Amino acid sequence: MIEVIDPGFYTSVQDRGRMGYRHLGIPISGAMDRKAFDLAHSLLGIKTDTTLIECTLVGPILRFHESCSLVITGAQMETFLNDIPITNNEVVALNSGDILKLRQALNGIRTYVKINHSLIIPKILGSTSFYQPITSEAFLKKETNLFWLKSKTSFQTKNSRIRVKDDYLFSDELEVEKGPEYELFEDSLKKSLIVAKFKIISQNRMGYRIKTPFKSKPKSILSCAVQPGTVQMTPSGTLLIAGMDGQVSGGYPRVLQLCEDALSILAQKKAGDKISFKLHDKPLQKEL
Amino acid sequence: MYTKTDFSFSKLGNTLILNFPHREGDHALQFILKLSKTLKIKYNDQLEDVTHSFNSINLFFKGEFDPHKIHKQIFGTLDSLKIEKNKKNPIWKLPVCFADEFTSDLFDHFRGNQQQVNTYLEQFMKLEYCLFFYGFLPGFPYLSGLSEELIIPRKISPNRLTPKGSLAVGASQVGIYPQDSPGGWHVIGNCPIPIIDFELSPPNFIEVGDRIRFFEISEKELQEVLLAIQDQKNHPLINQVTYD
Repeated sequence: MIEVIDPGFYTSVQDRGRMGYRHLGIPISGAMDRKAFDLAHSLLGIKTDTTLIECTLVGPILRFHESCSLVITGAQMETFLNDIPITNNEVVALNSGDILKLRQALNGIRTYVKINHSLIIPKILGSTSFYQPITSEAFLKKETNLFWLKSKTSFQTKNSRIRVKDDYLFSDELEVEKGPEYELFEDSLKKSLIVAKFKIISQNRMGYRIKTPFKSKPKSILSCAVQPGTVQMTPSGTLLIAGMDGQVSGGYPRVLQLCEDALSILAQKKAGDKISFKLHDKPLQKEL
Repeated sequence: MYTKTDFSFSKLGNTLILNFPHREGDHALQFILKLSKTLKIKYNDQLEDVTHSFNSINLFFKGEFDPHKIHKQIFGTLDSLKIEKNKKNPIWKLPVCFADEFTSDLFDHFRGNQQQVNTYLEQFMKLEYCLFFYGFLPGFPYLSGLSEELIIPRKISPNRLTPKGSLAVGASQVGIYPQDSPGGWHVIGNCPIPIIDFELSPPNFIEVGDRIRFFEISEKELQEVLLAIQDQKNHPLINQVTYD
């Protein structure tokens, strides 16, 4: 059992996501940084169970009531196991009574904690990912207890040698494709969009708001599909980039779409950070 | 009815979008539903989701896909598509309250001209709407059927809070907010009936293709309905449904 002594700033349970319900307006949710998510699973050698804990900006303080192994990936937080500093991306053995403290994030903002047992979290519409109002909670609260399955099925953690590539945490360049409404914009805007750096105004799991100096005429389009990484532009020049909890349809023109790795880079950025876009045109896209 | 020349394709990450012009009327929607279903069955193993909107069908692939191949296959599917309409869709009657607190967006839009607000609402109430699809937020219904003269463009920038139950107009679209949310549409009233309840299976009672008519209730009745729902009691104003 894991006892949540202090939940931190915004700590939730996530898995790969709640696919198959977009037709009811339900976002897919799931871990924001897919690279860190995948890395946690590889390091533990786990393929089947995909539930882990996502921490944001300031992590939680957790007391473990049974022994287990775990791995921490994503942003490096100030992390202590019984007050001794530990680092990310290494399988750590914990004993009953151990206290894991994750505090201020140092590079990036989202950190993942994955243990070598299946956490018992109710699956709603096929997923354990927290998302209100589909799940009763949006984030972990103080004094919550998380239980895990106590069976022989605890994962065999082999000390796998996996090369960890964390340099994306320090990148601020987002690889993008042209969105369906890209051509609606003026050439000068399209050009500046690719060369300039822009500041993040705010962020959460629903998405990122980014300020640009561009004003554009309101383009009345009917609401259409949006998915994680879709970049919409409002007439006042704010870019809205959908996150994993982002809305499934929207009415502002979809100017760009983030490539998969770019979403992991963005998920580690906070308000005030700057980002830029780099156009990646796949040959297939051109011919469409 | 749609023909091949109506369609174009675009791509959004691993999602293939089939674009076509929006057309009012039951025929167009039946076509979209049939084509969506056919494509869902055809690409079942490769898909995460299939959705549609007023003017698109969206195939959310699990990974990379070959747009040329799929493009061709979809056109092939169109030739053999048969639309049969055998289901009779119900008309749901939903209560809506137009107390001042719910019509302030409309009041601002008409620069404080109460007469214009009243005329707008009168015309709005005469129309019958059709639930075209769910999107935006869990259980947010997009309704078609708004007449041209009732179109109100979206706000230039979204506001921070549009309250739960808000009946709102965004360009030619009508929607009901299932929860408090930021929103860019003009609120014209409030509907106290929850459109979606995730403790129920299925969570929605109004299906795509169903008809909707609104009837006006007072603020007192709105409070009664909200209270009845909270206490899980019935109320004569809840769930009035008729079939044509």
